[in-house]
Amino acid sequence: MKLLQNKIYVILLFFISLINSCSTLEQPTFRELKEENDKYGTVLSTRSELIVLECEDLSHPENFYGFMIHTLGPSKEYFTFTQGNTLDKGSCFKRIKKMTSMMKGSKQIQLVGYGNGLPTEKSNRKINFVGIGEFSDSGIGYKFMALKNDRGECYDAYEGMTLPCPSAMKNPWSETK
Amino acid sequence: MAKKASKKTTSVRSHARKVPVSKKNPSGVTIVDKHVRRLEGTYLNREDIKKIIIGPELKGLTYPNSKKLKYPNSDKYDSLIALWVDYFNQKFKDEVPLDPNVVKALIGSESSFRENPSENKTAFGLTQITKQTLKILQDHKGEAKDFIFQNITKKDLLDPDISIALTTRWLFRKKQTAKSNLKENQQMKKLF
Repeated sequence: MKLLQNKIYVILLFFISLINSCSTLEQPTFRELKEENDKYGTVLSTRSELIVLECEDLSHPENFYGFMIHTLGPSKEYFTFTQGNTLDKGSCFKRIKKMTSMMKGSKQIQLVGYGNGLPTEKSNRKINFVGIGEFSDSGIGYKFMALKNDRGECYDAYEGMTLPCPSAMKNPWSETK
Repeated sequence: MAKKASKKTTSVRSHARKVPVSKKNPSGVTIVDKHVRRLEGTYLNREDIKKIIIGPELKGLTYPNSKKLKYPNSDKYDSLIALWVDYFNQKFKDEVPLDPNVVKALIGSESSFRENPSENKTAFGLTQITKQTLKILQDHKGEAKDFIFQNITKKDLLDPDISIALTTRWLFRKKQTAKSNLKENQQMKKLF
């Protein structure tokens, strides 16, 4: 009987913690990087489940791949952070593996992007965020600069895993947690 | 019928050349086979590039815009960009000159002004030149044969002095290709 009471207690605790964690799931937020009212970049704070990493075969004779990070925004449309240069196949898929392991178990992910964030033509392509659904393009894109998890690990677009985090642009980490 | 020789090259007959005395060459003389030599002004090698850079300061160069890009080191290479854009604008004398901002924007996109971005294994340096592009830029029969580079190695591509020179020349080649495909002389902004 005592064992059963203990089990019920454990199950109750589990549900309480689950409800608690669900209610504290933060919405993605953008912090604009500005200078004299000119926006030059963004720092997006989001969750790993709202991120899809992709290596796209560019069908180039030199076997180039384009790297992209799609992320679901608060408006239920996705934004894309794109690598500025093309990558070779091996480097591209290797970084997906590394970034995936970095994001695992991290409650908050920060993405740094370069650009003014003005919308361009939307693509017709829908992106599937596993367990959440398929979403349309916002037409907004940034140049990918860096990704950071809540353990302080960073992945720089040009240098790979780096410590300390790179100041890819005018110190993007200064105001972030 | 023999093929007409290109104006960019001259044929050099087989000749003797003095070399240090060694086991292989005990006489201190070797025979150089008949070969083709590029005429001066139609190529640059590593030493030529360095000479141009440390040469007298040129006045009236058009510099790219500064303090616009927010990357660390984004204005560090402005004088190199201005120098090489001016060099090739003078060389090719195209009616629509190359804008140095195009070179600067390309560097921003390709490497964010890092001299040795390590993430890509097939492209190198500030401007991310690939082995294939380097090969074309040094091929005296290739698509850039009007003006080529010589003796540039993969390691040299990590040197901004060299990579900016090669990239600027390559942009002229790309402009030429676009001009011929589009049947009009495009502004660089339009091309990109």
